[in-house]
Amino acid sequence: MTSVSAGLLLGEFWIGVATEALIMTLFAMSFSLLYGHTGLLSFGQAAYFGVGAYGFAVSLVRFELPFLLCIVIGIVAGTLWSFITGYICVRLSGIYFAIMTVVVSQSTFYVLFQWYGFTGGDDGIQGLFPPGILAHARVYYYLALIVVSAVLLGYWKLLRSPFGLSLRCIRENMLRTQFVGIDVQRHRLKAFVIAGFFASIAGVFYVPLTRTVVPQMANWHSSGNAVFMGILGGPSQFSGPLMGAIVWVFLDAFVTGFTEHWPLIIGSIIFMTVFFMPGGLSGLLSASIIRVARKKKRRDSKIAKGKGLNGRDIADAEPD
Amino acid sequence: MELIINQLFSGLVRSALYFLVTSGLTLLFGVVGTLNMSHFSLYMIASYVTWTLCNLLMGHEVAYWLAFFLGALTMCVFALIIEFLVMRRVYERQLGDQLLITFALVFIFDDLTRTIWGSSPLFVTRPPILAGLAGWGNIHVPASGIFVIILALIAGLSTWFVLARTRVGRISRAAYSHKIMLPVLGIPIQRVYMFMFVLSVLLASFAGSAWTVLGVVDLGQAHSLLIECFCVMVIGGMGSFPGTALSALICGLSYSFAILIVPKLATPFIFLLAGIILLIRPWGLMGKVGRLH
Repeated sequence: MTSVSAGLLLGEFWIGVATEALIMTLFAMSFSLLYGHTGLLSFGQAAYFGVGAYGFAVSLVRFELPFLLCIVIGIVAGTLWSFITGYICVRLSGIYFAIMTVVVSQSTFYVLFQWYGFTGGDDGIQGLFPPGILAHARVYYYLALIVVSAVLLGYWKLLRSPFGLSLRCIRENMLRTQFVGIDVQRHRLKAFVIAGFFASIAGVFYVPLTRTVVPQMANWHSSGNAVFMGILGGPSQFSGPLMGAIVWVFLDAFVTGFTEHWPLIIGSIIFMTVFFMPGGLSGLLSASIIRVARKKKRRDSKIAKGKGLNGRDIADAEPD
Repeated sequence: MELIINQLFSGLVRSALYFLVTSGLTLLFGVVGTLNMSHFSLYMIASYVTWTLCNLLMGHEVAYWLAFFLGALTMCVFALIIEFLVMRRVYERQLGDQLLITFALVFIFDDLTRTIWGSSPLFVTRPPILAGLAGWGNIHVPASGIFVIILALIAGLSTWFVLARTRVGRISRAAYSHKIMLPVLGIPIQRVYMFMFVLSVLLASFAGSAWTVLGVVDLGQAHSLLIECFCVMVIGGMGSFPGTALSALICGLSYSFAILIVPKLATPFIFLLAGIILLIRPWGLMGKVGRLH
């Protein structure tokens, strides 16, 4: 409801910011699904973000295919790449997985960078305009809203499903999950591919917003953005990625205007979050909801026992 | 023939650099169990510190060598500060937290470096002894390369000596294989960790200072090396010091010969090697068999 009205009320600049926040939610979700729900810390989600973006861009510019087909190609390309690299990555656990994802991300960046003939190398690809009515920021916002809401619904269903439960089991104790009979490798691969799917969608829809693609979209630092959004928002909660994305986009829009110490702020926030807010912002939110609920329960039980809120019996209260 | 010798030499220089940068990281991981993602940023900071010291000492006879030594000292002090403020709280944490905290440090260090030294690349004037080419007969190789190789050999052998023959080294090796027993035996494990962290930063600072005579001091130097060094570490076996030496040798030489055969595939070749190792023998060439953490 808020998002629909926001689309009508906000000015030009803020619409762009809101659209970016929506799209980045998907990117953050791709990290959170792997880390918060499966226990796999991935520093390489930007690889699929980048491949999705480039798949879209190259088919639009080089092969001049229709817009919708380019979207599909971009998403398929990113998801396929996540399947191929995921097949190798999920065999590893913990630290090796994390390192492998860094390797994948940087290798993808390297390939995009070097393959000048196909991708334009360091120049990137420019002039990527969405066709017709979608070129208007407001309309694109609603498109992004529809797409992101659909994906969020899918994410919600996924987390609530038996598959989601299995992933959380894997996160808690992989060995025990195997003993229960769950094929851990297949589950992890599926989770990895779904995460890659989310990241590719984010990449594909990010391109018409920024109208350009560069190889840096796939590198380690870009993955760091997903890590930041996921961790800050709270990787294990449903609302986490959205909150993380909103904060990141907000910071990106504002902070760069005031100071150039962008990395310092990002680093410090990650730092503070890990030490003081391990559940992220959504963790704080749910913790305060629980606290309010507990207080209410205590109040209710006091009244039920015949005592007023200040401890004295209700029956003894003086009439005012 | 000359080409092969040149490529062999540049491969050895590359191996030496890989070894210097990666050995600290491997040692820290093996003994302490922490993968310090900011290790490469520390290597970069060491280069910048060396540059500053070289500038301050400009005009002295042995400016570079003094800068090298003082730079190592400065980095050790810096390491102690970081250890006290941050790393101390990182050792007992979960892997995810450790990676995230050190990852956050990467951002912080990058910004710190950019604030202090600016974003333009910096150059260090080589000391005269390292500036030219050394030669035997027809073969001429850059003297700076010889320096780096010798430095790597000295650093490697000294560290090996410390690990193998001194009491501290024995304790560190024990921490690698039987971490839980050490506090039980009354050994102050926090001090061992502190020593290891400072040692790892020291090795990184050697690498950083060595880099200043090889190339340009730049904000991006860590990132270009990062991926290759991770591969070196994985191939050799994470936590294994001799493994890193062997794997650095393999990777450096493969790179320089791959450049001859298929230039564009030289860097990805190392990634490929790492991928293969991860598939068939994840604990690396010389890691403990079956031990994946």
